[in-house]
Parts: sequence; C-alpha cells; structure tokens
Amino acid sequence: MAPLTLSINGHAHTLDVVADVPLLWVLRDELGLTGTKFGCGRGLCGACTVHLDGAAVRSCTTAVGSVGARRVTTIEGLARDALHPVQAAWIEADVPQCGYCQAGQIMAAAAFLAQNSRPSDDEIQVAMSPNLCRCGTYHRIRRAVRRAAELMAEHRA
Amino acid sequence: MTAITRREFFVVSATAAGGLVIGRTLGAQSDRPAPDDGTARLSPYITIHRDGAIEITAPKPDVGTGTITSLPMIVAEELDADWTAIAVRQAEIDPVYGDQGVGGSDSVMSHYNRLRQAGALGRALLVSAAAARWGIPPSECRTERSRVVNRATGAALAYGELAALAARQPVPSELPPLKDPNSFSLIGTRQAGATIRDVVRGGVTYGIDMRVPGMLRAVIQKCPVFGGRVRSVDDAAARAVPGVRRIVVLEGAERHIWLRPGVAVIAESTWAALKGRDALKIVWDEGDGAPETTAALRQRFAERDGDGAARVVRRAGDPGAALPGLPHTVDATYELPFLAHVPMEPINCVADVANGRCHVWGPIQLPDKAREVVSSVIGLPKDAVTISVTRIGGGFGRRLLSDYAAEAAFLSKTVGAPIQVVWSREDDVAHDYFRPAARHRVRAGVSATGRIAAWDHQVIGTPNDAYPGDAETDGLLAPQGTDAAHDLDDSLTPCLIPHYQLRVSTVATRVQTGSLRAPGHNVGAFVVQSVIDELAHASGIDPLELRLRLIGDAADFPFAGPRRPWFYDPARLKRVLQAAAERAGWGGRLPAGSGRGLAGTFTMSSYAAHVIEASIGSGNRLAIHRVVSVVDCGRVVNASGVEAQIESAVIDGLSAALFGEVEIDNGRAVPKNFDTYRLLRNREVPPIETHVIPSTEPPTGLGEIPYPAVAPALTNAIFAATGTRIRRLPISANGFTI
Repeated sequence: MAPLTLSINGHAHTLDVVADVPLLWVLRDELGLTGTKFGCGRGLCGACTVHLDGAAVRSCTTAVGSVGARRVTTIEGLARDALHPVQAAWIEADVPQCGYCQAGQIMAAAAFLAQNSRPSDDEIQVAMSPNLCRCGTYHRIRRAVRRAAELMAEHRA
Repeated sequence: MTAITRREFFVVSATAAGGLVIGRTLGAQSDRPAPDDGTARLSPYITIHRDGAIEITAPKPDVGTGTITSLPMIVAEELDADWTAIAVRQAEIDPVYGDQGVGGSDSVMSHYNRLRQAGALGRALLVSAAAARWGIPPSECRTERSRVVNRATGAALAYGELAALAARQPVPSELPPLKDPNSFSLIGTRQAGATIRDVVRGGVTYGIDMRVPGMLRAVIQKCPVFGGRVRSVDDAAARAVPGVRRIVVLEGAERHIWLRPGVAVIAESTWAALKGRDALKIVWDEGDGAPETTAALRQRFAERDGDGAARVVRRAGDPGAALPGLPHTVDATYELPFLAHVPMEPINCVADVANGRCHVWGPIQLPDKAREVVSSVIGLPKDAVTISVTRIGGGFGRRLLSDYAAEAAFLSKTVGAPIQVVWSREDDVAHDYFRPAARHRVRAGVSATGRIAAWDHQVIGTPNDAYPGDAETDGLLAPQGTDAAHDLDDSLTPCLIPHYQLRVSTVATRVQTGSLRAPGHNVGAFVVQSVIDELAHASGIDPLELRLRLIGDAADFPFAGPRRPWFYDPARLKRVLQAAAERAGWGGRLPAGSGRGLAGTFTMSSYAAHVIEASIGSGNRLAIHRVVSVVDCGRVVNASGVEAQIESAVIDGLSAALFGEVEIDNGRAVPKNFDTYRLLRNREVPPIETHVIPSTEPPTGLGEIPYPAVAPALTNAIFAATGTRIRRLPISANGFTI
C-alpha cells in the first residue's frame, strides 16, 4: 500500500491509508481535524462538506484515493488572516444553535458564493438545501449567505 | 434576605498573583484551594484572570438551546461586567453547581436567581475592594462595564485591578441586593452565541470529537429485532479488516434501556470499525412472540378502544350521560406514529475504565443519571465514575438516556483501553428510543350556549420506557379542582368542562421508547387542539372564540414539582392565542383552497400559539405559506436565543407533522437515513414570524414549549383549506404531496 500525499489546508500530509477510506475519516481520525463532521455517511446531510480546489464535496463519500493533487480545504482552513466573509456573516446573524451542522453549511455557502457572487434568494435556498439543519437555523442561514455576498462584494470593490 | 453563614463559602484566600477565591457554594464542597496560576476565582461562576479578562462559567451543558450564552448573561448582568469582553466556559460536572441535568426546558428558569446572586456577590466584593482603596463608603461607588467608579470624583478601577484586593475583603454577612430589573442593560437584549467564533471555525468539541490517548473505536451491531439476543457470531471476515483489533459480545444489562445485547467491533479507526461491523455474520435469537409491525400495533390499539378496564385518570360529572343531550358532538379517533429523534450529532460516547475508576466523556444531558447507569453496568461504585460533558449536537430528548455511556464503559472495561463508541445514522434510526405511538379516542360536545360541555378521552398507547408505567397523558385537558396539585403537573389547559373523563390503556410492546421534545404534550396537544377545532367547526363557532371560552378564567392550578413553582395564568394563554390570531389576520379572507389554522398551549411552564396559513394545489400538493408564532416565556434573557428556539420548534414540528414516522416491520424498526427519514430542507421552510409577549414575570422555559401546537395548527389549516380532517399523522400518509 503506497502512502498517499494530500494537500490539506495548504500543508502536505503523507499518510498510510487505504485508498477507499472516505476522506472524512482520514481528516477526523488520521489528522485530528474534527471540524468536519460525520452526520449520515451517505452524502445526504452535508455535515461533512469540504472543498476540493474550492468546490464543495461530501467527504464522507469521497474516497481518499480519489483526491489526488486537488487542494483540500476544511473548516479549519477556511479563514486565513481574518475570518472568511461567510464566517463573519454567520456571526452577525447569530446562526448556530447546537452548531453541529454549521461547518458543513459554511463550507457549502463559501463554495457557492465563490461560484455565484450575486445570488437571488431562490438560488441561495436551493444552494443551501443539500445541507440539513436539525435545529432549524435555515432562516438565519439564508440571511447570513445574503450578508456574506454583500461583504464579498464590498471587499472586491 | 438570608444571612450567609461562613460554611457556605469557600475560604477566602489569595493566590500567589493576587487572586481571589470566594463564592457562595451550595453546601457541597468547601475549601477548594485557589489555583496558583494567577487566576482569581471569584466564585464557581466567575474567574478573573491576571490580565483582567473575566470568565463566566455556564453551569449546565448546552444541548443546542443556547444556555451557554443565556446563563452567563444572567451572571454578567448582576456583576455589571462588560459582556463584549467576557469569555464563557462550560462547567465541569461538580456538585457545587447543583443539578446540572438538562431537561424540562428549565435551565434558565431554575438557575435565574442563583446566577443573579452569584453576579451580585462578585460585584459586592469588587465594590468593597474599590471602596477600601479609595477610603470611601461602598455606597459612594457605582459599577459599569467591568469597572468600579467613584461617584464623586469619576475615578475608575477595572475589575481586573481589584481582584487581589477583593480577596482581602470581609465576606458579606448578607446576600447583596439584586438589581432592579428595570435597570437591566444586558438581560433582554440580543446577543450572539458566546462561543460562536469557535463554532464557525470548527473549534468546538462535541462528544464525537473527543480524543483520549490510546483510544480505540467501537461500532456495535445490535439485533435488528427488538428484544433479540446474540446466538452466535462468525467474526472471521470482520477480524480480517485492516485495523480491527477485537470482537466483543455484549449480553446486555437486565434493564435493556441501559445496555442492549449486540456484537462490538473494536478497531483502530472509526472506518475500520464500521467496515468490520459490516463484515460480521451474526445469528440472532430473535425472541419469542409474534413480530411487531406498525399494522399489528395499530390493530392492538384499536382492540383496546372502549376498553372497560382502562384506568381512569380523571373524572368529573358524567360525560357518557351528558353527550347525547348536546346539540353538537364529535367522535374522533387520532393516531400518532413512533418518531425518531435523529439529532445531527450521531450517538457516541468515550469511556476509560482503568485502575478501578471510570471516566466518561460524551454528549450527556443527565450526568448524575449517566453516573448511576455506568456504575451499575460495570459494577463500580458511583464515586469511582467521573462524567465529563462535551458540547452536544442536538438532543430532542435522545440524550436523556445513558445507554451510549454504558456501552462505552462496558467495552472499555472489557478491552482494557479507552473506547469511543460511534453509531451510524442507520443505527440511530433503527435503535432509537422512539416517541411512543398512540391512539386517542375523544367524544366531546358543545352545548347550546356555545361552550365545550363534555369530553370523554381515552388514551391508548405504548409506554415511555424511560418512565415505566402508563402511556403518556401529559398535555391533556382536565377539569378544575380534581387532584390538581399532584397529577396536573403538566396539564395543558385546566378548564371548566363540567363532564370530563380521561382514561388510559397501556399497550405493551417490544419497541423501545423514550422522551421526545415536550413528552406527552407532543401527542396530547395534537389531539386536544384538533378536537377543539372539530368542535368549533361542528358548532359554527370561531376556533379562537371557542378556545377563549374554554380557557375562561380558571386560575387555581398550582403546578407541582420542584422545577415548576409557577402558577398557570389563563390570561397569558388567551393573550398568546389572541396575539397570534391578530398578527396573522385571523378572520380575513383567503383565496379558495387556502386556510388558516390556530393552536395554542400552556406547555410545561410557558405559553405558545401558532397560526399557520396553508393551501392545497393541484395534485394534492400542500404549500405552507406563513407561520405566525407567539410565545410568552416570562422575562427574556437572550432575545436572539428566544427567537431561535421558536423557529427551531416550528421547523421541527412541521417536519414531524409532515413526514415523521418510524415504520415497524417484522419486529424491527426499518433502518433509515436522511433520504427515507425526511426532514424539511432549507428551501421548504415557510416564512416564520416570531413574537414574544413582553413580560416582567420570572423567566420560564422555551426549548420545548412551542413544539406541540405546531402540528395541530397545520392540520387545522389544512381543514380550513380543504374540509379534510387529518387524524392520523404524518400528513404525507394522507395522500398529500409536499
């Protein structure tokens, strides 16, 4: 079994893992990055959302062997010098309740806004629907994504 | 004011760096030594660090209801601390904090006074220190935002500077006075979650994130059939999975709710444990008796309808004799399914049994109960078991049980290493302790004077395994004056119904059950609020008006139990109903195919009402257009948190009403994941308008309170829109598409 080298949050990691282990478990159990959550194991809830080259993927159904050279970003790596605008908007809107799904929501929102910088309300709701929240923070998520889009536009201006 | 005796305090002592240890204990611990690292523990709730940073401790675990923010806010208010510079931490499990169990929506309610006192005591000591420094009486000082200010000169001293001096002040002989609530500057405001920066960066440790050195992972396969046991295991394939270390057979405990039989795969990683579990070949002894099915259970419920042996819980007058004489009557049978909790964080726990001690870390809601269960299951004395509570990724009632702590502890003891047990989502749905299923039969009638005059109610249901006994009857109507102090602890609406009977028939089942958000009420309110609506339509009386007449002014119902000292006030229930109706435009015209439904309850300690507007389109497609929710929970601590809890209860209630159902087939719960156990998605939730009745009453509960009235408000709206009365949940089983 050849070791795999992955780029995770800007750092290279060489791991002795079997190729078919889901990326989720490599992040959580091998690398101790527990911000990415296990919710369903079948790509149905979005709690495990990470970025591969900036695109949102479900790490629970992504085999680590399929990642290749793509850059993995987890919630721990989303903020750089400052909070990501999505995180800042999340704080403004006081979104989380239990908080367990929120990393996945934030990662999904960040990837969405990177692709669609001026979304309509409908587009926001559709884009965020794959991410379940059992506590029901959906309305605040909508407001926070809207606000994050504003913050990102301001930043570009 | 009660005098504080010296034994109720920690000994006042200074740390090497000028710290302070003092505080009003609850009589349990004393003389805890001050930490010697420059921090000053003003009390179990207040720590002032050397650099002046103030840390406030939340005494209870946070299940997701925001108590990690609201409880410290109470302390900070009386302390006059600058909330923008406060750090918050969750308390360790320690008797000094009193009862740290979470439940009954009573954390703020039960801790409000104690936390105010803690804050006031801290403030008094700091003022005393400043007064001594300035050589003035304490009355010439005031406080604001973590500073003491000399009224005469305007000079100020920060709390951080005063901590060391405060340590040398005499212990007050009386409890310091509390603030006039009219002067609150923090309680009642909107505040973001105190740990939100950690949450949005993925930095919060939930149970499933706990790591202990040397920890192994375990995934347990339990018998799919309720009550089954392991007969034999072929574990060769499981052992061959890389990373799998060992297979352990669990016989289970005598109380199945504490530990059930199964086969555990112990592995070096969670994935290996999951794969190993999938590779197990187990022969089960499925037990005797016919396998349970949803249809068979419904049939057994039906057979008990009209059961002469049903236990009479409440009786007044003679509804059987009165009903035939009433001009408008309803005879309705309601059926509610088992519901799963599916908290977002899957079931998990860590335990380490070593050297005659056991340490448990997990998303545990009742730490004392967990200690009792673990101690019993592994045969260690209770004081050898330490419980540490992590952040909890949702409860909804599931985390009241300690089975997962017992699993981890048992396996750790067997294996001789720290163990983290993790359940898959399918395990969670199949092996949950479900909200009990029930069938309610109500015969009720309205008199010629337009009042509900008779109500004959039979509850037929499975018991709640967490509280063995009868099927749940919380949240049901009862007439005035019948054993109110003892049995009406959780009554929904004490009322004047002259002819009333409540009977209960309990149907034994192997299906495992437990408490779900507002236990008992989440079924009882659906039935009561639906039947009131049926009576309103049968008699041509407006559903709001019929409720107002029913509630009347009957107020003499004290609610028993140490957690609920409050008296029910009918005016407050009427007010939330009227406010919801008014804000929703009740009585206004709607297009054909649209309707509004109303429901409102007194649940546990607070009041909530909803008006829902819905319509049915082509293909029997249900659309929910608007939810208006009004709550009275006494004085609000965190306005942002209160709004969030209302939205949470509404969305949870809608999901359950629309889709919630656990199917029992061939003696087992059909395992599901989020594709087949459906919850509302972001784009499916309607607009929700939340309103809180401004109140100066003491804070009462909220996490569960708005939940029970949501489902009946929706089905009442569907009736108003279509003339179709839904008496069996979920709504999706009635031919509506959503």
